[in-house]
Amino acid sequence: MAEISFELPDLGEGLVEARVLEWLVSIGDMVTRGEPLVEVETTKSAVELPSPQTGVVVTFHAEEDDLLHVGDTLVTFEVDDEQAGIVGTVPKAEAPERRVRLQLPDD
Amino acid sequence: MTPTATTQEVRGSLEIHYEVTPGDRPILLVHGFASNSTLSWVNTGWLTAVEEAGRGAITVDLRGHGQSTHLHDAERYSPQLMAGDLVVALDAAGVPADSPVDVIAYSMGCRVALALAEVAPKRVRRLVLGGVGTRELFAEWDPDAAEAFLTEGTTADDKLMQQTLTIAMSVPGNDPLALLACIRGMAGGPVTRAPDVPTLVAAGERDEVASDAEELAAQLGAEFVSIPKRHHFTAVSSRVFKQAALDFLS
Repeated sequence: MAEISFELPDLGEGLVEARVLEWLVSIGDMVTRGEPLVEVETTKSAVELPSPQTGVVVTFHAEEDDLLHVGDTLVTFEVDDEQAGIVGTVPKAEAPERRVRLQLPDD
Repeated sequence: MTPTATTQEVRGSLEIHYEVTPGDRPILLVHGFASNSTLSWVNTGWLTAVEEAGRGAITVDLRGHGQSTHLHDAERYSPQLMAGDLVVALDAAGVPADSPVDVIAYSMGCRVALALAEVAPKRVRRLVLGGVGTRELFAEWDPDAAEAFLTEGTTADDKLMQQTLTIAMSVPGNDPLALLACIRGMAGGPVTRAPDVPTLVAAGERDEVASDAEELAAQLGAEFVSIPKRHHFTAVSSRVFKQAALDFLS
């Protein structure tokens, strides 16, 4: 087994830091990639970050209410050896499948 | 001053942007003032939670917001007009008129959802209202001060308004003249009429905008859930809120 760590990802729109609101998993949990991992608060809004990795959560590098900068270590997983060399990024929540625009007459 | 040229241009057409996530018994999600479907429902993990619950979703960008038309005329904003947009989106998404949907709304979106329950009662099965109390914030705001801030950046005395509008203008794509028209058009009396459908009210325990949400729940004969430690802008993504809402709608 090996350990792999992830940083707070770039949240876009020039945001450089975020505060941890709530961890959505516990130490020792087996989580799958894409599963909700942590909720963070930026100056603009609250964001739920999905897990970047399938593995067992071994360390939170920030507690609730802690302020993290983009690039600070966020979380460490224990993973199978063959996965250890893979560098991942935290995926973004996916947008829905169908997008439609409606043209309406004047009210 | 509203630039008349732009107003004329958008008068000709109104586009409402909506998105459908496939799944059973779709839930209609209605965002709040100065937000949009992506900020309120995608980035917050709501669509993931809805999908995990096996439900579909229909998200709508309200007029003046997100990818819908940013109208500059205050007369084209009201809870009823926006509720009409929701009906059109439900029709376009293929929801039969005799098949009521569950609705989850946040903040200003709650007034739109309540208007929907009033103007199209057969379209609504159950309502979840988040981040809302008995106060009608826009009616409390000085629209001239809002205009001075939105168009010239003049600092307002009303701290809550100043904070709300500052965040509003930090959202990419938000149009100050559309937000101003929305504030003027949506300003009205407090919510008084109880919907005829089972309703849940939820609010962050530190939510300044919805500090008397429990009172609203009592007035509407609704259930009430307090979201620990959250304020108006952080309650929306809370697990407690999602779980309570999805349980209520299950």
